[in-house]
Amino acid sequence: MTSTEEARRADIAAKAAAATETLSIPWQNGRRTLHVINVSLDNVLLNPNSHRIRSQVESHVNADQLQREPFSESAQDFIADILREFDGFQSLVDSLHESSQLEPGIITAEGVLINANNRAVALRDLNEKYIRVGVLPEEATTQEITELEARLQLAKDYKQDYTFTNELLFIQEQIDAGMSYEDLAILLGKAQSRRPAHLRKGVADIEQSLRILQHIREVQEMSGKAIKLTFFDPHQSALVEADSAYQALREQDPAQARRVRDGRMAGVLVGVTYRNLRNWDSDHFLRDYVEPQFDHGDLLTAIDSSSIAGDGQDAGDGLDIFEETGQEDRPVDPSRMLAAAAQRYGADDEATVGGITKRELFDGLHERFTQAAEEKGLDLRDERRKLRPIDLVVDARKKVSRAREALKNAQTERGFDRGKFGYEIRRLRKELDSLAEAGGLDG
Amino acid sequence: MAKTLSFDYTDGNITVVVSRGQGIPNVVWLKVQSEWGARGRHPARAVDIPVSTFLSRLDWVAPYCRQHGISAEWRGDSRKLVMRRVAEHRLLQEALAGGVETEPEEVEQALRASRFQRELRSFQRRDLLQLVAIANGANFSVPGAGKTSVAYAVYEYERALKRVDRLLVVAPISAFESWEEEAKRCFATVPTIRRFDGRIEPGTEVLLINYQRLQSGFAELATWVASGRTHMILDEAHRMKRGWGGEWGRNCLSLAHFASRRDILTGTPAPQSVFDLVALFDFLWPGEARRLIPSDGQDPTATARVADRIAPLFVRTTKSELDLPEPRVRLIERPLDSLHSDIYAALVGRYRGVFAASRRAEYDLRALGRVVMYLLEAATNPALLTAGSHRHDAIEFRHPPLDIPPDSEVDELLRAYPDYETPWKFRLVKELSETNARLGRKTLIWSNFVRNLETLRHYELEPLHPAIVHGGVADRSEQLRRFREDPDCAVLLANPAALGEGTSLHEVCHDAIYIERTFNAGQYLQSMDRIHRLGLPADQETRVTVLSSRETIDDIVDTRLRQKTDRLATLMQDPGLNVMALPAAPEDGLEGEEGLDVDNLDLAALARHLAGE
Repeated sequence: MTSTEEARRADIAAKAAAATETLSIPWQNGRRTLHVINVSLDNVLLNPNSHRIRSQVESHVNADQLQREPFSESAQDFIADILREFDGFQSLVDSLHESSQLEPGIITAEGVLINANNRAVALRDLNEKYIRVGVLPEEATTQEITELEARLQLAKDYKQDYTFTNELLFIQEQIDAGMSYEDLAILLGKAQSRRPAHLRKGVADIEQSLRILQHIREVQEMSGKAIKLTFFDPHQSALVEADSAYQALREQDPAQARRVRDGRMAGVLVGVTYRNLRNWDSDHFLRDYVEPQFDHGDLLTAIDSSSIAGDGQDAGDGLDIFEETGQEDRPVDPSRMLAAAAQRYGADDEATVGGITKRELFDGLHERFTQAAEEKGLDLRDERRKLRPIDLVVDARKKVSRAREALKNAQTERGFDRGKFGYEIRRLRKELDSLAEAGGLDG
Repeated sequence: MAKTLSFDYTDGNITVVVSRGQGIPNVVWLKVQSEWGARGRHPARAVDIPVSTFLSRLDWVAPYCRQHGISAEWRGDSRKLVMRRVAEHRLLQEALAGGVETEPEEVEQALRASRFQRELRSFQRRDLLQLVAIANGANFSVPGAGKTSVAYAVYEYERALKRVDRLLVVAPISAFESWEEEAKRCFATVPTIRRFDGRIEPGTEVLLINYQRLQSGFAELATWVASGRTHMILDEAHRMKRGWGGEWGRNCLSLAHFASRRDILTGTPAPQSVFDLVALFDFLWPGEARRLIPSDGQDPTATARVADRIAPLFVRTTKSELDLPEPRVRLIERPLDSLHSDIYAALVGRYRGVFAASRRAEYDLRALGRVVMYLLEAATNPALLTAGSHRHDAIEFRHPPLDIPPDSEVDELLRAYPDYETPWKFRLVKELSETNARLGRKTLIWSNFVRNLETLRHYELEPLHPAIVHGGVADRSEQLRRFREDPDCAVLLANPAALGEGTSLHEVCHDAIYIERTFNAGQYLQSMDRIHRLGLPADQETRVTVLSSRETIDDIVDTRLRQKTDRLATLMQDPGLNVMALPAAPEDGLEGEEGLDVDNLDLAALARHLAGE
């Protein structure tokens, strides 16, 4: 332990011993009382493992340093920057400026903030000197602290704070720690109750999250880590839908399911809009709309030459008991499309790989995908256009039927304007005749 | 360094353990977790996977591991387990190609040398031969064709070949007696048969259990099945047609992997659509069903294609092979009387809006099921509308009385109705039953609504001393006895849900009248089977009359029922399929099966009817 660390611990311990105020927190299966102290803002450390920022920390340009020396000055500055990026940080600063800190935060015996990280940053920005915190006992284990932090986060309206990828990481962490899918589903509000139907849905959500995270990690690997986790935050809906499409197909045709999923992910990487991505729901789309776009040229060559992990690599041992299943060869392989985009992701725009620049590849894929989607949209619209006049006529007939019923009641009323009624009927007849004529029908 | 995934399994266990070796990258382990689940004490290091999940998600392993240079280490019986699964895939291909060549003489000899003593009929012997040629079998023969005996023959034959040594039969409770009785007739030395009651006694060779108990008894059962070479048979197998989406289906599918041989028996495998077969075939051939049966079940050409594909996998003795004369079905269609007609029209007007609102969206089957109910009532007997369901109506028929605003047109009509008219169907039923009685014939009268049955019993048909069977009748056996034996009892009033597959009336009754029917094709076919089954003399005519109110939902039901039975016929490649029977379980209650059994096409047809098309 360095002298700063020792001094910090000693300072905190001394203050705790002299403390009069206490704070009660949930702890393991019960509660625990902590001493609340005023500690110098120089003596507290921002928490690099906070679940709220894990994805951002991992994706940070200086991620290495953040991992190796999270408590170094520069790392701490990076964390402060990440925290300042959050929506609502400015209002926090404003409100702390107006009134002093209400709720105490919580720190470990070593001075690491378990919550109140953004409060600490805000107070520092306001040039305050002290922060009020409860102090955890020295014996607290890492697991206990992690659980506490998670609980505190989730007790608030976590939905606001957890980005999509942070939630994925959280789910993975809890599953690895042995939490059951059911408990996790309840904890995260993905299951409304413990009723079997609700639980099944909640568990399905958790399973989906794991699959999505796994696919993201594969793609990140393909890119040589150039694609950061936070890249995927704005694409939650697209990824969730892609997985649902994948699930719908995988029992029946796992290869097709993979093609759909990889194709959509390739679209995400090159910036295809969410609406257009949805069109890729089966091999029909690939065959009828995508493949025709790629009949020749550099783009296709570049895709074909992209290697999928392990192309031609030695097979591992022990796999001989599985039968070789033939791979279906398609003119355009979405998995290679994805690999092509991912592998080039970190390159410069003008860098040439496989005979084509990165920009050309990305623009090319984007354009073709969007074009394919639009063509499909047009085809669907044509279908609808054909039905429209028929729909309208059917509606009109139903209305006339209803008018007959209404007539029964209205006729007996005094003041029923028979004349006007007759007039409107004649007008209707005329319209009907013109319509039939325009449609080339007799009578 | 070798990156290794280790697989651990011991025969008799219900989970496989997959462990993360050193050097396995995070992304690969996450793949393992996302494919098979991340359950266990330390999911970051090893996961426990139920056998069925493990085996049904194997297809990703080889290509993925090859791509990432991962090796597989097979510990314990795990290699055997996977190889068996791979072998089963090959066995399926073999079955599809016609199965193993079997000499009829061989099979006969093997059976003669065994405990099996029953003389099988020719169609039974033929079915047996085909079943033992394939690794797992389906018997879709009509009830009365003796499927139970054939099943015991298959078991005994496989046992003689030392391929199985015990039998698990999953069946409705009402069928238990039949399995026990048949065993006595089939075997010279009867094997020890026990009904499951929580504990499985040692020495049990044949174990009977019903679908509901699978859940609570699962662990016990799985261990028993896995610890021997178990032949597993599902009787009335359509009950698990919900597959993984239903509790009974889940349990059957989970046990499937532990069995050495699987057979399913059902008289009506797919009354609604080809899709009904998926779970059944998933049980027989785990993990293969979706490749055999596509999910696009509504496509008309799909039905024929599926029929061709699965033909080698099942046997079916048809009604015609039993040499039964075809029943004579006639539809009597009459218009509603005037006041009755006004009531029906008012109801249609009311519901037209409900259907229009759902147009092109997925029909809410539950909500619209209620509407179907009211329209069925209105087409037959408007008095049902104000009364709501009878407390003894089958569960799926329970509903409140129609919500009628006081002093509305409908309200007035309904109040006037009993004073002015009697439903034409009731008048006609009386006429037809009396004619039959004069000819010395007994009549079986069907209605889904207990109120109809009770009304007829106390009024129109009272002089014929009717017997009656429905959910609320306590002395069922006495009622049936009276109908069978008492010459003065000329009529049996029954609802399809209550008169189940165990009951035969064909010895005393050859005339049936349907007051109304629902969209449930299975139930309709099964009800016909009460008086039309094996045992009828060749010259006996069976007469079925269906009453239908013109221009009402009855028309739609008739059209849809024809379509459904037609589809079933194509599927089974036999026109005789039209008059096969399917039980919709009475006391056992079909899992999630609505008595009305309404599907989207039914509702679409109904919507057109309401729109006046």
